[in-house]
Amino acid sequence: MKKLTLALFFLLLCQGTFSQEKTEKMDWDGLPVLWLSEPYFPTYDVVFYFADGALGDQVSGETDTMFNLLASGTRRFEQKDISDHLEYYGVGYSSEVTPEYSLFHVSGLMKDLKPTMKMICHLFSDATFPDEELKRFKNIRKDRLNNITSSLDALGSRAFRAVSMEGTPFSAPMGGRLKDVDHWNSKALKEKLHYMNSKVSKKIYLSGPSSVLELKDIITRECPWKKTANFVRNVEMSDKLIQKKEVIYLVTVPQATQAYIYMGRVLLKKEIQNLEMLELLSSFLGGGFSSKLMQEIRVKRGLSYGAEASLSGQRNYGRFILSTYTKNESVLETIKVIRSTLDDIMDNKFEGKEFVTAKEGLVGSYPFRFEKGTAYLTQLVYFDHIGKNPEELYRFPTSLGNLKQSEMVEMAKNIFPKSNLTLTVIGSKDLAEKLRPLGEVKIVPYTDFL
Amino acid sequence: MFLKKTSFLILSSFFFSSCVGQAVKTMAQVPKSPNANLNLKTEVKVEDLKVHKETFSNGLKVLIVENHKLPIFSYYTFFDVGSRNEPEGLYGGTHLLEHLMFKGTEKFKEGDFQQLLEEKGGETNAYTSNDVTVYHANLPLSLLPTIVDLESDRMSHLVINKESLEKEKLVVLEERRMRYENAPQSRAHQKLFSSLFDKTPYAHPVIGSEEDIKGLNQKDIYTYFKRYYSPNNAILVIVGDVDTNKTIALLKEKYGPIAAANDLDEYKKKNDDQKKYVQKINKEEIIRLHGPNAAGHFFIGFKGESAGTKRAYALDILASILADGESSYLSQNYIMGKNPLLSSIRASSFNMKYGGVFFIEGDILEKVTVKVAREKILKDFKTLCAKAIDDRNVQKIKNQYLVGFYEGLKTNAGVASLLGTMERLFGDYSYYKKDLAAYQDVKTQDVKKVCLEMIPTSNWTFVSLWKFNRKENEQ
Repeated sequence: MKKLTLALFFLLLCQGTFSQEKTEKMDWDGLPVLWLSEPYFPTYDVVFYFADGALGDQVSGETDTMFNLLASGTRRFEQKDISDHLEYYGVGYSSEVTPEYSLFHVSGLMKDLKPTMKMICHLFSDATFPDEELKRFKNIRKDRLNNITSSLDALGSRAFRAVSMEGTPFSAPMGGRLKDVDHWNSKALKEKLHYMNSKVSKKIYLSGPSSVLELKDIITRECPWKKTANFVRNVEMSDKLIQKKEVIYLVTVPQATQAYIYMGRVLLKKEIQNLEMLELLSSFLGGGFSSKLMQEIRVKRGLSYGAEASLSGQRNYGRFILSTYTKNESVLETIKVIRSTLDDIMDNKFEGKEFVTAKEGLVGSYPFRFEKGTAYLTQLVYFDHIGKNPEELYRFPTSLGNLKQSEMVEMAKNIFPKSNLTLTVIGSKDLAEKLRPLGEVKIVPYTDFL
Repeated sequence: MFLKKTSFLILSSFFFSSCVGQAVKTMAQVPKSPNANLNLKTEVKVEDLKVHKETFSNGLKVLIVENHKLPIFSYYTFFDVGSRNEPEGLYGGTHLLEHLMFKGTEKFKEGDFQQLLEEKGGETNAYTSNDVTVYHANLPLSLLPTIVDLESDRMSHLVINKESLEKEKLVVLEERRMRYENAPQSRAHQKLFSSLFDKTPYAHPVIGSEEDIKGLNQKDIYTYFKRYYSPNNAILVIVGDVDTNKTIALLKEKYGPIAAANDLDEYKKKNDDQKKYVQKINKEEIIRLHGPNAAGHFFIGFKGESAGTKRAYALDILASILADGESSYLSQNYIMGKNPLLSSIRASSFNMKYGGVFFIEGDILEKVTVKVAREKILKDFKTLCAKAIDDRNVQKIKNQYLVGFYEGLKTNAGVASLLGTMERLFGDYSYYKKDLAAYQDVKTQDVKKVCLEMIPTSNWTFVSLWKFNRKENEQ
C-alpha cells in the first residue's frame, strides 16, 4: 500500500495571476496543444476540440449521438466494463456538440491520468456502437422528447431555435429531431467517428500540473488522429436571413400555468465582431439584478422571478435572446415591458449611470473568469474557434473601458428593431386571445418541435 | 433569493483515493479485462486548511481563509434558521424574508444592495432550506468594506414596508409556479417529503403553498426577523484575497455594536424539541399524482438519517453505489440492461439537522406502466443489498468523492460553503477532517448493514407522477 499525501490546500499559499504567462502552446506530432498551468491541485482537465459539429450531420443528431455513445462498447470491452473502468477512477467525461464544432471533455485525478487516457484513446480507436446500446439510447431519447413539457424552459429553447433560425442550416437541435431518431444506425455512427478521427482538424486543451504533459506519448501513439486531418466546418449565413417583419409564435402546451417568453434574433458574422460591445449590451439588459430587464420586470412590477439576456456566438453566426416567464394573466404586460425597455435603449432614454454600472461591473467581474481552470480553458477554446487572438482575452478590461454609451445605443438600434425580432411564447392555448393585440400570431402545437 | 434545498451530502461530497502505483502500472496497457488487478486501498493524509476562527462578544462566529491567487473573495453568511423554524401561519416566511433582505434598510434604499455590488463586478444571491438561510457573494477585493457595511447593516436595520412585501410575494408566487407547478417532478418530490416527515417541522415546503405566501404579513415577518437574524445566530465565512487582521478589525467595527438576541438559545432549545422531529412511518404507502408526463416519474423513499451520524456516511455511499454513474447497480439493471424499464435513475441520502430521507427517483420508459416498474423494483429490493455492494464498489465511490472534494475546493465559494456548513452542523469548521475520516472509515459491511436494515425491511412511500394517474385519486 503506497502512502499518498495530498496537499489539498496549498493553493492557499500560492500567488498567481490571470495572464498568458500561465499558458503554453505546443505541437504534438502535428496536433496543436495548449496547456494551462494549474499546479494547485492533483487534478487535470482535457478538452479535445473537433472543428466540425452538427452542421456536418446528414441526419440531425448524428454527431451528438456518436459522442454520447462513444463509451457504449468496443471490440474488446462492453459498455459496463468501460463505464466501470472510468468511473472507478472518478473520471468525468462528456461531450458537447455545437453547430460548428464539437468538444470532448475528460477530467480526473493526475495519478490516474495514464490508464484513463489510454481508455479514452481506445474508445476513439475502436468504438463499435453496438446495436443494443443504440436501441436503448434511441428509446430514451424518444421518451425524453415526448415528455419535454415537464421542462417548459427546455421546450422553449428548442422551439425558439427552430423558429428564429428557420431556413438556415442552424435551426436543427444538436440532439436531433424525433423524426430523425429512427434513422440513426451503428454503421453511420462508425463512419462519423472515422470521419472525425481522420478528416477533421483537432486541437487539445489541457489544464493541470506539468505532469499532465505526459499525455503526449499516449495521445500521439494511441489516439487514432491523423496529422493530415484538416477539415474545418464553415457555413456562412446570408444577410437575407435577417427577417424584415416581426414574427410572433404561440407554442401551445396543455395545462401550462406560466407563459415562457423568448424574444431575439440571429446575428450575422459581421454583427458579432465587436464581442466586447455585445457582451456589454447583454449585461446591461439582463446580466444581473441591477440590469434593465430585472429592474423593469421583477423589481418594479413583480411580474417574474427572473429575466435574462443571453448572447451566444460561433464563428459565422450568433444569437441574442431575451427571456423571462410570467403567469398567464401577465403575458401581454410583460411583453410590452420588454419592448418598451428596448425602445428606451434605442432612443438613448436611460441614465448614464446605468451604462457605467454595466460597464464597470463587467470589468470588475473579470478576474472570476480565471478562478477555475475549466472556465479559463473554455474561454481559450472559444477564442481559438472564432479566430480571435487569445491575447484579446487579457485585453478585455481595457477594451471594455473604451466603449461609449453612444456606441452601445447604435448597436442596439441595429439589433433590436421590432421588425427584426422573433417573439415566441410557450404556454396554454388560452394565451392566443391575450396575445391578439400584438398582431398576427402563428399558433403551433409543441409537438411540432419534437 | 432562489430556493435550494441544501444537502449535507452535496456540500461534503468527499473522499478517498483510488489505486496509485500498481494500478498505473497494470493499466499502462489497456488490459483484456479493464478492471483487473486494481489495488483497492491507499492511505490519504489531508493537510489542514489555515483558518482563522474568532467569536465576537455578541456571539457572531467568524471564519477567514486567505487565498491570494486572485484579487477576489467570497463572503458567506449562514443564519441558523430554516423552514423548520416556522410556526403555523408563517409557512414560507423564512424564504420570503430571504427575498426581503434585499429590499433595503434605513441607510440603504431598495436596490442599493445589488447596485453597489454589481456596479463593481460583484454578484450576490441567497438560498433557504429546511434548516438554514445562506447569503453569499463573490466579489472583487475592492468591495470588502462595502459588503461588510451592507451585511452588518441589514442584520440589524432591515426595513420591511407593505408595498415591497406585497410586490415580493408576487415574485415568490412566480418562483413557485416555475419550480413546482410547471416542474411537476418537484411536486412529487415535495409530496414524498410531506409524507415521510408527516407531522414534523420538515413536512411543509420551504417555499410555502400559494395560500401560505398570500397570507404572510409584515408584522409577523418582522418579528421572525428580529428573533433569528442576530449575530449569535450567524456564522460569517470569508475566503479570498483578504488580510485577516485588517478584516477582523473592519468586522468588529461594523458587527461589534449589533446586540445579541438574549433569549434566542432558550427559544431555539424549546423549538428544537427532538420529539417534534420523530419520523413515524407506520405503513407502506402508494401516492399517485396526476401529471402531464406520458412516461411515469417516481420516487420511493425511506426514513433516512440526520447529518453526521455513522449511519449517514454509510447511506451516502450506498446511494452512490446504487445510482451514481452508468456502472452503478440500478443503472445497469434498469437502464443499461437488455430489458430496460427506466430512462434515468438517481438515489440520494438527504440528511438534515434532525432527520433525513433516503430516496430513489427515476423516469419510467413510456412503454412501461408505473405498476410494472414499481413491482419489479420492490421485488429487487429483497436481494439488492447482497448483489450491489462489494469492496470494489465501495472504493469506487470513495474515489469519486475525492474528485468531487477537489472540485469543491477550486473556488473561494466552495471553501466558504464547506467550512460554514461544517461549523453550522457540528459547531466546528475543522469537522471537515473528521468528515473525511468518517468516509474513509466506512467499510463494505457498514454499507451492507445499513442497506439491509432499510431497503428490504423498512416501510416505504412510493410517489408516482403520471398522465394516467387520475386526478381524483390524488391525496
